[in-house]
Amino acid sequence: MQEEELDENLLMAALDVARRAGVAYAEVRGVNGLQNEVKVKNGQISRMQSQQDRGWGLNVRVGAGWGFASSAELTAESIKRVTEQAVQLARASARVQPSSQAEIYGEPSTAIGEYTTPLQIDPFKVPISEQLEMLYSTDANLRRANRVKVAETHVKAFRTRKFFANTAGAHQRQLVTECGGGASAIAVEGPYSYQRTYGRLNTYSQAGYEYILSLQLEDEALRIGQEAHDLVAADWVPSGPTTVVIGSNLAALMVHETCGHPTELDRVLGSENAFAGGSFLLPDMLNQFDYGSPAVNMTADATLPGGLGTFGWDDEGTPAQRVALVEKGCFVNYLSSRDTAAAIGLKSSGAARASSWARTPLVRMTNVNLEPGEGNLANLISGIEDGLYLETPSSWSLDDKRLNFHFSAEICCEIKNGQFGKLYKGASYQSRTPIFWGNCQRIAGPEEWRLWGFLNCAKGEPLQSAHVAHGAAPILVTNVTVQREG
Amino acid sequence: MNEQNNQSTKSSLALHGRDKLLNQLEDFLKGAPGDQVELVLEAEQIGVTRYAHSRIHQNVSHQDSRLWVRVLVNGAVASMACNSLDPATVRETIQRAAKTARMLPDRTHQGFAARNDESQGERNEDGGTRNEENTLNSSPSFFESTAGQTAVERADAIGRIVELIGAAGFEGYGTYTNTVTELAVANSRGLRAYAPATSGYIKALVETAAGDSAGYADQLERDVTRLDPEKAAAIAIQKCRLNVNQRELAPGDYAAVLEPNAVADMVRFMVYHGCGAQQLQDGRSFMTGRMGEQVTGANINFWEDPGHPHAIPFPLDYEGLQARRVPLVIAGQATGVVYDRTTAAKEPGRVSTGHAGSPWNSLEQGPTPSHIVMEAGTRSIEELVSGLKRGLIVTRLHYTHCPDPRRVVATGTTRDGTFLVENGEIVAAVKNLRFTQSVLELLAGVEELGQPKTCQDWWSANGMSSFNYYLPALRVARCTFTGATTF
Repeated sequence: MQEEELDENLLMAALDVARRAGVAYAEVRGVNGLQNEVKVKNGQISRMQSQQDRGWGLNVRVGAGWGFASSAELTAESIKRVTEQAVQLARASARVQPSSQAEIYGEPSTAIGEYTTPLQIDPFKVPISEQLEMLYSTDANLRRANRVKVAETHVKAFRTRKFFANTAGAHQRQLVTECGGGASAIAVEGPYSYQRTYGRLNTYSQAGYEYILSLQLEDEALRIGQEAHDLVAADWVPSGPTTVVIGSNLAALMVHETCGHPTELDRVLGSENAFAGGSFLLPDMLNQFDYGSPAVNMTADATLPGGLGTFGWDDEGTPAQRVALVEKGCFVNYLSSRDTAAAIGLKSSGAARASSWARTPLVRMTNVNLEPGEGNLANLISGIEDGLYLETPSSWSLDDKRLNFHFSAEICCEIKNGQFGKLYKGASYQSRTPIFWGNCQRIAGPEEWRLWGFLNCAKGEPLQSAHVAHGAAPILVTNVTVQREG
Repeated sequence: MNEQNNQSTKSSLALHGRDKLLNQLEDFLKGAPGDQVELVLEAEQIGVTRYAHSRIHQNVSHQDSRLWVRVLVNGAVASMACNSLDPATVRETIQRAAKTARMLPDRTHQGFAARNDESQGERNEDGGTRNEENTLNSSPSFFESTAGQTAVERADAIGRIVELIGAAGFEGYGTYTNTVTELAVANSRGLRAYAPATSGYIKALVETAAGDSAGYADQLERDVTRLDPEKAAAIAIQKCRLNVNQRELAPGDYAAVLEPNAVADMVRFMVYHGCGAQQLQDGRSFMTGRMGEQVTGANINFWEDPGHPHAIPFPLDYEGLQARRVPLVIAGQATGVVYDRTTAAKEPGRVSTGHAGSPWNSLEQGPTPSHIVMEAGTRSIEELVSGLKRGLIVTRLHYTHCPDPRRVVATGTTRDGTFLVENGEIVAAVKNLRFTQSVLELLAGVEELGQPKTCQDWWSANGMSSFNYYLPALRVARCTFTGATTF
């Protein structure tokens, strides 16, 4: 499927129409998206598809009311219609505003520029036959272990061309390429079935096909299939408090759920209370609250090469930034947008993102990372007499302020006298965010740190499924109560 | 409230209509390459108004038409999708799908359906059909009242909600969503199918200014004239008033009254992980090896019923087939699962029940029930509570998940009103608890079924899924809570 250029003249014309309609502020965003996916299940192609998605949206403010309208059509007629709709929505919003509504709006962006993903191999130019050859081989390797009944493997690629402009003079072009792949094996034995995946399918990067090749799916499939085969017949994990080492992939999801979401400032200010929930990290806790132990440093870094949360400018036109969220265990900043930051006297941290042309920007994660400590995984477990190693999430659930959580791991392995031992299945653990991170004693070093790409971070109404990334190295946490699932 | 602008604004959602969409697909099919071509067109218009701290903070509208193209060449199928209905773009999309299909080595596809009543089933050797228990009940899925609703009407409904909430001394949060969707399917074998649908959904979350007490209510309907914003506000206000000075309760087993929203979250994991043919065929369903066996208490009966007037009815699936009623669990016994054409082809004599999922859903869960109707009772929630000697009332759950799909273990935290009951009376509000238990075990101990409600699970209510339920509140003997939170 061919990429098409965006008609920037028509998009800019929408701003003129909005100005003439008397708006206080307007921003327009046009997006052309392409997506390819090839998937093989149990030796057969289960999905061979290509999707094109293009359109544009206009966000306007009239008084204290915001309105956002969008359309797949970009014509002189649709500009008039969509602008009229956006203004009508803003005026409707203004009908339900407290008279005390403060008119605090952050400074709009005036940034101008271009951003393009650096890549070596264009994933949209790799022949399907080459992709299928790799996937058939991966699928066969997944099923070499005889308890594996369902094997699935896939590759996906995304290309997004975006144009942004606003009535303050910002004007930006971005061309983002993302791709990745995955492998999953489900083993069945008697009354049990058990799934083992390659990184919970969070193996995506803003990069070219060279990233997919680096995943070594065919080799990893042998390990994953064997682990699924072993796990379904393994003993259930022993319950009780213990010291755990949590692998990079599971630690990355924990960062997402227990740091990324509660530091989203729109949640803190109540915008998501009726859906995703609020946050326990209130503004008066900034620079005061011990979120974790001194070993814990977390950042939001939209400038990190390869991350799904990397860009030139966010969807309000604010430049990409690296922001500390937790420093030496202390909670120090939020992920924020222009208006949410202004509401508490801060500057936007450049985290306003929209999942498509048809969605208005919300505060989203970028690349929210747990910064590495020191040493490799062997160093990390070497001092543990009796503990457990947990890797790859299988389920996760948090309360609506992100305090109490429940995570389950696909794979669990005992640690005895500094060495890995027996395999267990069904390990889960439950804790509260500051208690858990307060007990985080050590974090492995850069040699174990890995950046994972998540395709499905859900938030907002109508729903927005965002691409975000998280880097983490394995962590050592004491006093964690591990339970058998359910 | 500001009365800044009283100008009447019209931004209602307009229907394309059967003739326009099917004629468009007919034109696209003319001269299309490949042995067989199938086109799935989904047109969607959404209006969403969100409020927080009793003010509208987000107000959006969205229109799109997405076309899914499947081309079959020598038994191999490739798919392409676009959201432009420009004839040149569509022709190019079909050509590319055909080109890709020619390159594929898999040659096993059965071909597309020739008629949309294929899901009625074919006669088997016994003279019956594989879908013989199915009946098609065609409750309307489209209402002009919903399609005609404007942004101003949504805003004014929210205005009435926040006025009541403000008068009670609280703050309001929530959403008013209305949608118009149209699904049209046509293929080169002659199948033509079309159905429109509307929905209106209102959420009211009531909190104190300090955020330390909350109450909740919601309502989902095909017809927005049935929505009662004031009633939703009143229920949520009452919950919030009761939900004060929450007591910390130790985790453990409690008897409980689960309101319908909470029950939907439990049943979700049974149907999502266990009531689709793909899960059964893969050996991952709780029904695997247990068809006909007792899996819950004998007082549990539920069906997939896409025609039920209170289960957000919709008559078609994404293969253009008529969606059928399918018994799933009857008298507590594993009874059946839903099929699409791909899964039905794997079992001799089986035909699709009309449950092909959306091709835009990348999870590829396979056919899944999404209009779940559970047999209910006649007693109100208050009457169910009156029979509770000591236990809890759970209003709803948050961020549920299923750590063990085969045993249907569900977990999630309570929110917006959890109450301790003694001798049939609420004696205290309780800080939120984490529920973790096999849903099969939970439903083995249902003491009484209450009145039903149209509702969604947490995932579907928030747009991450599309399961609709018409099911009752339940009084259960044992509900297992494994943790607690601090609010």
